[in-house]
Amino acid sequence: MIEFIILIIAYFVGLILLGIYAHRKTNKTAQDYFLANRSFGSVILFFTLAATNFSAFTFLGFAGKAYDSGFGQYGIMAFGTAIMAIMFYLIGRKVWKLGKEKGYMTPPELIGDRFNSMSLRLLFMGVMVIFTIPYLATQAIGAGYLIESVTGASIGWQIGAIFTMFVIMIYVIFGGMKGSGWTDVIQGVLMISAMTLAVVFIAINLGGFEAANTMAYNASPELFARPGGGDYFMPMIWFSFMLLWIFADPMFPQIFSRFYTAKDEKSLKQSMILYPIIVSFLFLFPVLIGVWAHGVGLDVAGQKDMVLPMMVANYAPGFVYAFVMVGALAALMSTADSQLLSLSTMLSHDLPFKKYRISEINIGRILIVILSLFAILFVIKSYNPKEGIMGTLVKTTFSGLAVLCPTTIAALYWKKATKYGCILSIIFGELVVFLITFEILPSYGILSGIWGVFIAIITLIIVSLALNKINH
Amino acid sequence: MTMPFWFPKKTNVVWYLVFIGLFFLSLDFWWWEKSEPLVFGLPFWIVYLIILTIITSIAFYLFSKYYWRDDQ
Repeated sequence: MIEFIILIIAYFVGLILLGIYAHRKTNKTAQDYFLANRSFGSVILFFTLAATNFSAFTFLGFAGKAYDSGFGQYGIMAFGTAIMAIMFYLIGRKVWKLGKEKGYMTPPELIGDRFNSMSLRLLFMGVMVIFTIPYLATQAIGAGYLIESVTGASIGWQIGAIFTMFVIMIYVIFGGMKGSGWTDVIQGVLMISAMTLAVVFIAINLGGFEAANTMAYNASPELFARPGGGDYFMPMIWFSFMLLWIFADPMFPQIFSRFYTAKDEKSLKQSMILYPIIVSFLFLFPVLIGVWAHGVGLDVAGQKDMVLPMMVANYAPGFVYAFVMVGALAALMSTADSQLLSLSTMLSHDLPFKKYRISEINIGRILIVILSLFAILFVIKSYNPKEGIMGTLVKTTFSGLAVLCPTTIAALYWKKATKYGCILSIIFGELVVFLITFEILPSYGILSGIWGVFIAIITLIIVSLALNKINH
Repeated sequence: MTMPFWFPKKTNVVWYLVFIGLFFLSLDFWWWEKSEPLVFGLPFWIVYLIILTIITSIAFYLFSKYYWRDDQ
């Protein structure tokens, strides 16, 4: 425990200092504070796109799902996320270009301006904000669980979550996008090293990589095939997940906003090429650990999201355990800081405030505080830990955000798209997600997010074509 | 007749085929209910998916080199 306390204090202080340094290097313009003056080269852009996307879910939820359902978890996450990087071209390149030409700073600004519609801009922003707040709270909850686990419950998960949110809030307030991007590089390196160390040490202690797999195979062979544990990976679910990330990931406001920050197209290209490589191995590690837990007969006592910390605690030396826990914190904090910044950028820039004496940057900073408090409130009041991280996220964030993708593609490519087509596409898409999630409509084994996207596409096409015909 | 914006053109039809092909290869239903042969203790279909993910990266490299032009 003492190793962890020392490491975590050093880590938190390092982040805050980097945030303050970024503050000193940031001009007092909204473009620099919120978008790092569109200056991220290949290295920073790649790490920030990766670290932002890999979250508490990657370390904790992912291992927990693999513990339940087996190796199939790797397939739906790794390949699904890898092929998603084509969106860096389809959406990222156009967003970057338009941002540079027209000075856009947020996703709703681009969409609203393309259709000359404040209603659409506000709707787009509202959906992004509503579905991102639970995701932000999940990062804090993940941090709380980790701190509770490492300190042997001396610090409760709620206190751990609140303290982590506080540290994130401080360095984001100071550093803005530069602070977020720079800390993402450090957090990305930490996360990759920690995950690698975790797998290496656990494998060594279980008699080697193959021996660890064989033990798990003998204990639970169903985890090595599909449909896997609990018959989870039915073909339609597999198909749904492979598609879901393509639509959902680029609609995360923290990812979408990062397209604006690229220095040039080369940075976007290199990020796209490297993305499949990092997920090919990084996503395998938590899945291995989740599956190996069966081989050693680990009893998770209903806390499946804690399987990774438990395995590292049992099968790695104390200093490795401390380092891995800090790496896990890095994964979720790098996501949370980006979410906090992108949400505050949207709320300060897209809401039709009359900005009197207070600058947009300061409005953004005030909003960072308010959003952090909101996330903390979610932690204290609303979250049901029994659902698991994945359950909560899939039910809310991923599906809800994926519905925005057809409107974004239409805004970037389809000249005949209309604002009413987009507005109704989003409303009907979200409605279908809601009705299927709460089992009012049947899903036929397909994720609600995929149905939502399908209905959104159909609505957008029909309404836009009909309005075009009427207008002509 | 004007084609819809998403319709493949001569210049990009190959890339449509490559990426849609990769996507369909990820729907590897022919490996369902199979865990063997094992490679280093891993089911073979996991090795297949790792290779497919690496091929996706190579495809992105070729795509950015031969199709994605900065002045598009």
